[in-house]
Amino acid sequence: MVSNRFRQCSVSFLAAVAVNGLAVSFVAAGDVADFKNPLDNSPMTFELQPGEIETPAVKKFKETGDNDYRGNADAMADGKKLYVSNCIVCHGADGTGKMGPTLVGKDVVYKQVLTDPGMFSIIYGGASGAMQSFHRRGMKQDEMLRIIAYVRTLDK
Amino acid sequence: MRMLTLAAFLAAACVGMPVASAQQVPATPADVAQPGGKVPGAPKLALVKVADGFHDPVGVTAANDGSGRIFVVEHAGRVKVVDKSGKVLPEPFIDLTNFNPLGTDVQTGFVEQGLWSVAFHPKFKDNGYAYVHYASLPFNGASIIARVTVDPKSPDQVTKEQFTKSVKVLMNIPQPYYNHYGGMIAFGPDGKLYIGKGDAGWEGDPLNAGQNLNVLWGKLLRIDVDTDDDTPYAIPKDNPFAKADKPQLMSLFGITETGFTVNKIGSRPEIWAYGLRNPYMFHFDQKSGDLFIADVGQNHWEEINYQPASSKGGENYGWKFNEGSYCHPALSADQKCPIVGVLPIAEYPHSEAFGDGTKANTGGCSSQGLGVANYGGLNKTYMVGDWCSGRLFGVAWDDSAKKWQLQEFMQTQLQFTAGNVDADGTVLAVNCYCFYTDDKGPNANPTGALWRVMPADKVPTGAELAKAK
Repeated sequence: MVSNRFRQCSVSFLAAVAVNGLAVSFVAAGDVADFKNPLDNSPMTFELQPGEIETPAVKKFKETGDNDYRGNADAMADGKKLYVSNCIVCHGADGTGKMGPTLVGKDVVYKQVLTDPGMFSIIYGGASGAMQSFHRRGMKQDEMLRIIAYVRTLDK
Repeated sequence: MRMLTLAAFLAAACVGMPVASAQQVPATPADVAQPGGKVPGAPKLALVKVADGFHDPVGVTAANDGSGRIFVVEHAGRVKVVDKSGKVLPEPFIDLTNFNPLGTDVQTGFVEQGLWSVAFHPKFKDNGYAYVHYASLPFNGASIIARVTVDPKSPDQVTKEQFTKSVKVLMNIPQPYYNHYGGMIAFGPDGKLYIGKGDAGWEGDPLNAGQNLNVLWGKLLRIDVDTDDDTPYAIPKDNPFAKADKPQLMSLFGITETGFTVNKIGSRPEIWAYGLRNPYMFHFDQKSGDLFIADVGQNHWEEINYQPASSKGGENYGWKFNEGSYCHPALSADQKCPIVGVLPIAEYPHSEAFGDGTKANTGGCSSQGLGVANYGGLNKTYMVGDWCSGRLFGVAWDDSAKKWQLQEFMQTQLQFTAGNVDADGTVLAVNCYCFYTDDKGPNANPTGALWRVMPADKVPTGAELAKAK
């Protein structure tokens, strides 16, 4: 039991390192160009919920496209909880899609899903049909960043 | 021998007779249209907003009285009026939430329950008869089909007094599960009322309702509403099972094989077609009288069924043996199973096309028929919107290729719930922000809208369009 648990920890540690490495390569100058509507590429504006505070992570993300929660164990644990209650029904526990499309791999419906600003734009504003705006549903932007950090760990 | 030849000749002549419609119902799964086709003559389309602010709109019907009104069904139990100018009248036309002093009459505990549909008698202008289909709260979620009479002095609002005074219940169909009710009711070109009735729920049709002729679930029903007020409805004499259950003396070993083909003891005479899973929306082509049914699929395939106006009814659309032209359960693409009954004309997959995990990013999850388009270059094209993926499809016969075509016209941000045609034949659609995983209740969800499907080059300047790609 103990050894099993230990092994799991080390695997997730390695995954986190790998994901961090990916994140670095993703955060290119053009990254923020993916802050856009997935259907017509129109620019997005991100309004806060009543009483929502723009966290430093969100502020930095909007400026640079860099998601500080990638590889952050606490944030990814929060992201997992949020994923389970908001995303899992349509996208599946492993993110490969069920009623909704896959979030992992390269064969995503909207190419912008491959970047964090692109995925953030879709979570915030919705994509098509039942993938409706999570901003409208009351989700905070900091929570969206945590979900993204978790979803990236599913991309093996 | 001579007689046989004559019979064969007559049969051939009969088959050849309906020359007017060249369409053929597919004979093999390979003939069933899938996404990627091209609807002949289809223009670039746009969705133009007519009105908004509707609470979970799940049905829409145009008036047939020359008033130009459009009636939008709100899930909670209200029918709202959009007048000729596009203005939404503040008071509902029908309100099922307030005529009962104990509270609403409509069960809305689950997203598939509620008021689904309103239909107008072919002579509505003269008799004021409007029909509703909803899940009843007092009857534990049973389907109620009821008629109310509109007071000509109050054409835009059936007051609760008028509702209570005039209501006539035609059918009360119990429902064991809280899903797969079907929903739409509509008058056919023959003046009969057609009712889309789902297989009564759970998943995978545990009651085998689709194939069981002894129950009303999993069927398209057809009734005659033109009866005396003390008779709920009558069975049209030409329904396929109208006489299948007639009382007769028992005569063991006395039934011939031909006799067994017509004698189906226990069959419900209301049945027009069977083997359906959840025919939430179906539409007659106003031009030809042909019928299209969008049958919502299980885990993997959505199907569109078709019958020509010459149909005598009795079609079996295969549920739960088949899902689309595939097997149910749909384990894999190469799985073998018999095709039961009549094949659909078109089908499209969910994100997972089969149980083996085959991915199809062109998918959807719930097909809602919107109406048959005969304009802008479109000819008898059944428009279908998907509730999950926001895709708008068209299904039409391609006479040069001699096959059905299924084309994705656009993908939108809308969750399509229902549609119909306007008095001038334009296809209408409504969308909600209601879904299994995100239902705050029919009065609390963000409001939805009413749209017109128009050729892009006919869109009026300044019109609001649905975002699409």
